[in-house]
Amino acid sequence: MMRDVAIGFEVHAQLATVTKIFCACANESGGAPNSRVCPVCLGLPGALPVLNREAVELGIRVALALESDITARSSFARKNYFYPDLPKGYQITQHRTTLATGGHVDVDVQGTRKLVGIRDIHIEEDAGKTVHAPFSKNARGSGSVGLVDMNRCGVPLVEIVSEPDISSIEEADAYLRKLYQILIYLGVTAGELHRGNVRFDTNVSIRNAVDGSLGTPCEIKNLNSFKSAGRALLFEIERQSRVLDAGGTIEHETLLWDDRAERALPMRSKEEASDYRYFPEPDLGDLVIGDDWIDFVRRFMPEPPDEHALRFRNWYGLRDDTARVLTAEPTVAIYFEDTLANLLRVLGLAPDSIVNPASRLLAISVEAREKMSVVFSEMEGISPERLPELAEVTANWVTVMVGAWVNENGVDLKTLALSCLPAARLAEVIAARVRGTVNEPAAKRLLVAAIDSSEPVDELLERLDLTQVTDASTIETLVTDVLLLHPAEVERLRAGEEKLIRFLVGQVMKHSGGKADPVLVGETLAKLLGIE
Amino acid sequence: MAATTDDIRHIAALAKLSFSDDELERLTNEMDAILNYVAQLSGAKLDGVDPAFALLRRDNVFREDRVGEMLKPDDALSNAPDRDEDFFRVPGFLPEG
Repeated sequence: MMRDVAIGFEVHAQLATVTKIFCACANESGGAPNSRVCPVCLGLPGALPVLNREAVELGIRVALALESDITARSSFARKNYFYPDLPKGYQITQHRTTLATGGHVDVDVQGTRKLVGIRDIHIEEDAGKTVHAPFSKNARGSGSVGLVDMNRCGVPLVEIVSEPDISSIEEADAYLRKLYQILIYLGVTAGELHRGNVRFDTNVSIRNAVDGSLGTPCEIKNLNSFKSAGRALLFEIERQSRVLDAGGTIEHETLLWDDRAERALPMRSKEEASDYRYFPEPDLGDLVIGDDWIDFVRRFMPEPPDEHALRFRNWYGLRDDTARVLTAEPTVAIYFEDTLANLLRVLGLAPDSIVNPASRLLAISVEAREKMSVVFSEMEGISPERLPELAEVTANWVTVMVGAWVNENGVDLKTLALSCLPAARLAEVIAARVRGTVNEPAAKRLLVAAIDSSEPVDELLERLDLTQVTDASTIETLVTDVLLLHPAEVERLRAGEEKLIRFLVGQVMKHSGGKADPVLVGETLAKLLGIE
Repeated sequence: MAATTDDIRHIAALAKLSFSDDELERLTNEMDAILNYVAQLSGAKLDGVDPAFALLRRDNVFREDRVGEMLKPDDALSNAPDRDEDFFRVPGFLPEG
């Protein structure tokens, strides 16, 4: 039978700082094992942790974006457990008081809006990595060994703990994807799931069908992708349902997800589970966050995705679906906005100052938005209909035309935008089409040429002879030629076979080397043949 | 008595240690003595005193986010009982054991 479930998540994201959270080791991935370590992250005697300010600020960004209450005074704690990749024997985390509490993620589940509550947000250190080598000989005897790399020890994490507000696998998927989108947007994490930059733990309980009370939750750890989260939830809901269907009761358990086997296994030694003996970290002072600091972070923080989409609708008159497509990824959104600003400049509709010189695919902070808004309000000579039209055209170029090129060539948009096709160059290509200098097929050729070479766009237009023929008498000559070449078709068209007009337009376009203005060709044909 | 043999066995299990019965009894007595000694504190009059979580407190001690000196792998591994190339090598164990 279908049962009501309550699902919550703990999402861990590695913060995109330059260094680790409590020491000056580089926070990077890859490289040789144990090459980014120091006495602090190795837990050597006498070493003292010192908190990385940037890790705190990235945490504040997350709290602001999720509308959480930032705790004025929070503290750090030791969570004690023994594991080979935790050299100190404890993890420094936040427990009694955390960076922030409350807040929510606004989730869209197949068109229905749902708010998932946030319980708390805290910052902590990551552990190292252990490679299990079952067949390698241990120097101190035979049997399996573990190989430990401490490079990840002390990498800063933000942990976002949700309330168990999620009531289906679909909602769970939507929640994780939305939270992930927000984290990427805020620029707080590199977000590469396959590298484990973002990891999920989930807890699942089944609601009692009779009295509606929540059953004992079980935790599943070690989820590294949206897909494995969905599979693990399905596995766990079915497992608990089977136990209840057979008249059993759910015992609290912590399970470890095995992605390859697609099943969760209980973690060994239940007796020690959650006996972490937390106590205040004596080596670190409190973290005190005042309003000034919060305001400072807010000023320079990138716009969260929902706000970004809303601003695109308000400022540029974009349709809701266009705004959403553009804001799915911050790179696309920023590239679009940069391109549009450049297009308005190239077309002479906005002053040069509309282009944010610092942007270059960097997030647009409150500060930058305010400056743009000023330029925007001073824009003259643009009608209220013209801006949404140009915005939709630009959106189409970025997502469809450039998007197709990116897909076909396997280059990511960011690389393209930072190398061969900066927003200003794309804007010149779009301007050529908007002004009618080139027709649609020629515009596509121009785009490819603009990516492939570094020649100025106006020189490309000339060299490739792409300029659209719009001169009425030239077009009339072209049309007359074609009509003389196809007397039979002209006869049939006159007899009522209307679809032949398209054949004739095609012939004229071919005759012009693709350069004629197809609209003008159609009009001229109609005029010369005397048809409406 | 504040500490029991079961407490000691539990703490030992958390630390992945095992003791003989004799050792357990000795440790229980020692732990008990320590706890009784510290328990004198509970006799102190603390009305109107806020809980303190540490003695020396300095708020907001930060580092700037700049890379500093790191150890070379050979130095990092110099105290390791066992290594395999640049990894620390530890006896076999089950994941999350």
